[in-house]
Amino acid sequence: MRRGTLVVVLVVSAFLLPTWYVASQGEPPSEEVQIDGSVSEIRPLDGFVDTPNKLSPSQVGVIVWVALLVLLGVLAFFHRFMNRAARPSRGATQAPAEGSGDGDVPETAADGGRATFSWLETEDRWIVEYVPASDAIEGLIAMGTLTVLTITFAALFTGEYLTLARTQYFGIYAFGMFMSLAGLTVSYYAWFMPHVEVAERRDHR
Amino acid sequence: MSRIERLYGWFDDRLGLERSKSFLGKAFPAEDSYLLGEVALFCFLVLVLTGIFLGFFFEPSTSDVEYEGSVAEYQGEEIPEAFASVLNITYDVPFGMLIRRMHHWAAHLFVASMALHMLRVFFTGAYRNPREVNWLVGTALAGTSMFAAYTGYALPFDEFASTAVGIGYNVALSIPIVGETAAYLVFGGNFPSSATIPRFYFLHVLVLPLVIAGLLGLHMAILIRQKHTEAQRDEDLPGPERRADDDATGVAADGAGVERVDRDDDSIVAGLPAFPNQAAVSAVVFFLTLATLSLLAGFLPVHNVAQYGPNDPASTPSLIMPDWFLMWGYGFLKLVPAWMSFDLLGVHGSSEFIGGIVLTGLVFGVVAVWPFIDYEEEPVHFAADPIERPFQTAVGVAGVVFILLASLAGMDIIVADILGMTTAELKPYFIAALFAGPLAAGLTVYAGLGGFGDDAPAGEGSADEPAADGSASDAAAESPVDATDGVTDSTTDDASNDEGGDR
Repeated sequence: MRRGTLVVVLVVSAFLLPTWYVASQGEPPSEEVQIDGSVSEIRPLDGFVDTPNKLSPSQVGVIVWVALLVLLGVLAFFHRFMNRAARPSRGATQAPAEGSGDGDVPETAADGGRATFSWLETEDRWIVEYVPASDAIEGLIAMGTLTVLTITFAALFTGEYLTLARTQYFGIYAFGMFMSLAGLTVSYYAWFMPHVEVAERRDHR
Repeated sequence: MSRIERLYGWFDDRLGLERSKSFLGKAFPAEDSYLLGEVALFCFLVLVLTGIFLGFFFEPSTSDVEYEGSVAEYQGEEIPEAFASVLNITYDVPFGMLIRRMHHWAAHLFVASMALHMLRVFFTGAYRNPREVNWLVGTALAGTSMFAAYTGYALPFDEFASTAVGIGYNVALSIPIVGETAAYLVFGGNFPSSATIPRFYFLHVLVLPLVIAGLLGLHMAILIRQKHTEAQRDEDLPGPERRADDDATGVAADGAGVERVDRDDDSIVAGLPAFPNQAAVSAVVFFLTLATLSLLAGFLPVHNVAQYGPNDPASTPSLIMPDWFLMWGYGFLKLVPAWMSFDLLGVHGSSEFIGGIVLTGLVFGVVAVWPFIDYEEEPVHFAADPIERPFQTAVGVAGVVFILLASLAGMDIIVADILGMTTAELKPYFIAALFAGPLAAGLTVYAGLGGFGDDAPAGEGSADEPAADGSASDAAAESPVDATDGVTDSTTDDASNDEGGDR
């Protein structure tokens, strides 16, 4: 880490961490809300993990910032994985001509041209990097597995809706479903979509 | 012609799809932190969708009704209809608790991601010419979103929210001359009155979402027109003359050299095309945002109204505080001493007015005008390195520290409890810290980044500004023509026009 970055991180942390410590003290624990089971069949409070019954606004603040930072971390990981896996042969195919920044070989169609979407290249926009999809078998396995997971979580979610409607189970099923969908998209991008980068003139409309 | 082609042709005849198809190729810089705006956008989408669900069940009324739901504690009691309807959503509607919590967590994540997005824009100098207008729109968006969250906070009409919202009523009332009118317009008269919840509901579900949607649309329209800023490139790019029959090594099919775009040329923006590549990235952001909200909503309660009970004008909860993003304003209210109230030309300004309106207004005002303080004559399109801008970064860190300390003052009851002191004893320390803390933090950062000259950073726009990879940018010292190895084109000529001494 650069010295300047370290200084900024240390100074901000020196104020942020005590603030978060104070904010996390918030509400003391309290008794769970008692539900009369004769009124409704659903059991929204049932679950498999003991969680707090209430959170103060300050505790919510700490949690949401930590969640946001974790979300960004996971996003950065997936984003980089998509780009790295999309360029499986970058190192091998880099043919460094003098002054060239990239050396990936574009996919060639039967007529000698490159297969891309018609809207990518215009008078003011052109392709600066093109890496064909690897179509690797591991991509197919990943997508198959994630498809099964998505369907399973969706089925569990629906089953929960039709029965006890427990919030914790809804949460974990929805989380699994959306993570599987994210993984599916990442896998499709990484293994089955050409990695394309374009450049365009800023002043065009 | 297939059916799909005929269908496309039908729409194309009417909507001119073919002409606008090139929009699908727009370039989006592939930077992780640039996706924060998308997180905020998707949170807004979740807020709208979950809000529609909640709107089917919520009753914006303070009239008492007999509760017959499944929460044992309130069965048979006369409670406000708004409160009863929220209990009903939470405990008696299948996945109502999940949706309600998702709505709450999305609101918090919306504000947090917007704040972090603004910090990213601030520290990378992305507000500079020509993006001042969009910074102003973004600032308005942040303020409106906080107000939208505030109006939603009050709707369950529970003890905690109504007490916290009452503080806002007193602040509105404290505005000289127009205070009563403003309080009447927003709160419908003395809070809590029977008009408050319907009025807040109207603001929360219609007026403010429309304003936010309009500002979001404007924000994105300006972004699309001006295009993103871009991180400093590591290398030159192939130029516009490169076509499909050229290979990517810089050699055209006929063996001639392919022109290059200089890495310092910001008249060009490079990145992933909107469709399909950026669309796939955005889908990942969308699913991850939903996954985060699902996990939070599934396991952690937020604003658990059953624990607080319905509004009771005769009592005050022991721990009162606003939402975390308003905590700094609450801190100002606590710190401004009563003797600061004033009478000027027959107009009375109370300490609530100074703390709640003047100081918070000043903070928003400084944020809004900052692009005109750190002003650039010429357009700047590359993101700045915060480490290379000691003054701006020091100001930003000082601002963050100021807000953190003011938030701490808002939580003074908890601080006093931890330190074994009274809030009155703490107050002078907080006031001193609010002045000294940001100053010390700002000076430390300024010194640490070499702002005092002993370890001067490469100046912005200087020829020897370090590149992202740490190497010196020799190209910047050359004319764009030289930098492209003797190849001239309109692109590099444009670059020479755009690049003043602003970087």
